[in-house]
Amino acid sequence: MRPHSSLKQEFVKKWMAGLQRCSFSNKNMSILERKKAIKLSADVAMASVRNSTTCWSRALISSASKDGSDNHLVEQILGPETESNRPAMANKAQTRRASVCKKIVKRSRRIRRRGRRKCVAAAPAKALTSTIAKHLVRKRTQVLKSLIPGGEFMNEICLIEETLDYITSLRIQVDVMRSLAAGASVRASE
Amino acid sequence: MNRALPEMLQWQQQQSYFSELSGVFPSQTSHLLAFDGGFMSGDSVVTREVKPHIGLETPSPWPELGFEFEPCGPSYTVNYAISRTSSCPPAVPAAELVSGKMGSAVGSESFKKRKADKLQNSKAAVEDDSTKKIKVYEEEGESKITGPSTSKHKKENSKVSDVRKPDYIHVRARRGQATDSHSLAERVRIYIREKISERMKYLQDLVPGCNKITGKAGMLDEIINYVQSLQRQVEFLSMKLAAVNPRLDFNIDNIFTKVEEFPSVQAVANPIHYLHFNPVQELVSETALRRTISAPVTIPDGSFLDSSCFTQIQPSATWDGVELQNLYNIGRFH
Repeated sequence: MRPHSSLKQEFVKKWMAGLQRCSFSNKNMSILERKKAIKLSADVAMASVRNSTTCWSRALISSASKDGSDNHLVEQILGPETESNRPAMANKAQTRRASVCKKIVKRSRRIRRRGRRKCVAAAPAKALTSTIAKHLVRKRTQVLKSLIPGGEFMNEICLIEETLDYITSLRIQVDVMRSLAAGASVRASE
Repeated sequence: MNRALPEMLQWQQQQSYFSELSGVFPSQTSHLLAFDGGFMSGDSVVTREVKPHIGLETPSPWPELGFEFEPCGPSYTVNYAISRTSSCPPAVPAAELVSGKMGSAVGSESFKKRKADKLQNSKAAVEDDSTKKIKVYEEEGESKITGPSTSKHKKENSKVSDVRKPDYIHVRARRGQATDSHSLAERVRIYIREKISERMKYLQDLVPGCNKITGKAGMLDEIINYVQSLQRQVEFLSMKLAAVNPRLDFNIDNIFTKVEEFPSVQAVANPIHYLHFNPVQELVSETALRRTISAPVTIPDGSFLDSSCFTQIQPSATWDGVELQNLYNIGRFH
């Protein structure tokens, strides 16, 4: 991974470019609209900084461009790079099929588990605790998957790697936004 | 029959050339002779005539081969063997054969051309045994020539496959380890677990407050909390920015100075530096009220880096205010 400062610079450049495109398109926005535009542009800028390497960024861009209302915003933000997320759009059908397959597998597993449970009931306490721990971990993993964009279709190793990357990039995003907000608030107070 | 005789002779000549080329001269000719005897109802004179003819032709130089084809092509096109061989340009295969036989790498000829020639030759050499052998020679020569390029392609392919992540996990059984499916699956599981724990260690380093927690569920909890807090911070900060800026244009000078500021942020992270820095920056901010960017921007940033390991889910608004107040107090104190 590159050092933070260069990542930050790239992120700031992309974000500002996206924001400028947004502000050119419509001048008068309500505060909520502005907030949405800022957040979306920041997200997309961060994702496009890490675009080619990670799953979460691709998932983020594709999901952002999937929503009807945000679509034009994303196109504005990404601007000339819209071609780069075309393959992500093309992948949508595939991911849908994958989700259907996963559902089927889950259902079959549930049925199998139902049959097995009767035998497990008599198992010793040690096994029970381990199953509880596993259950807890699985639940947490599910939550984490829901938090990270595109996490539903990752296996565990991939999920953890993506989480690492996502956290670092979120940190950078927060850093930049915080410093900008602080600067802006000070300027406003003066 | 009489008509057919010269044609067959021509054909035999060709066959003999090819057999010469293939280097299995005696066996080929004997085979041909036997074949002729069967086919032509045993005209021994003709077959004997052929033999000295072959002997005469053996010392002939290679380019003559191509020369020889040309007259027989138009005159006896009835013979399919001749027509087939004459369909390809006569001079090129000759050169080709020479190059193939000598095994010399011909750099002057382009690869494409050679490939086309090879295609034609292969068309011509579908049924003739001798020509087939020639083709083998050609292929040898060609493989010598094209060897490096193909290996390059392979290398590139392997590079690509290296870059791409494998979808499956490759587990090799060491000596004395079982190879049945159950133990292999067990080994795969262990491998995955090792990988996950390795990644989790990195996460532990990254996520503040995660060092002391043992157990995967607790760590996952912490990670989830951290990610959620970061996401909420992004949300909050975007709201704040939207509230501060009535129009969506941030001052570009502001941004570029800030970008320059980033390396200095790391220096500021040290608290001692920080105290030294502070009065100077305060002065700057006081002198240049219009360009208030540099000092106030860096100060909270540095403070964030300082305290990022302690503050995790703190609501940043109050925190910022407190920090700023502290900073201003320090500035006044100095």
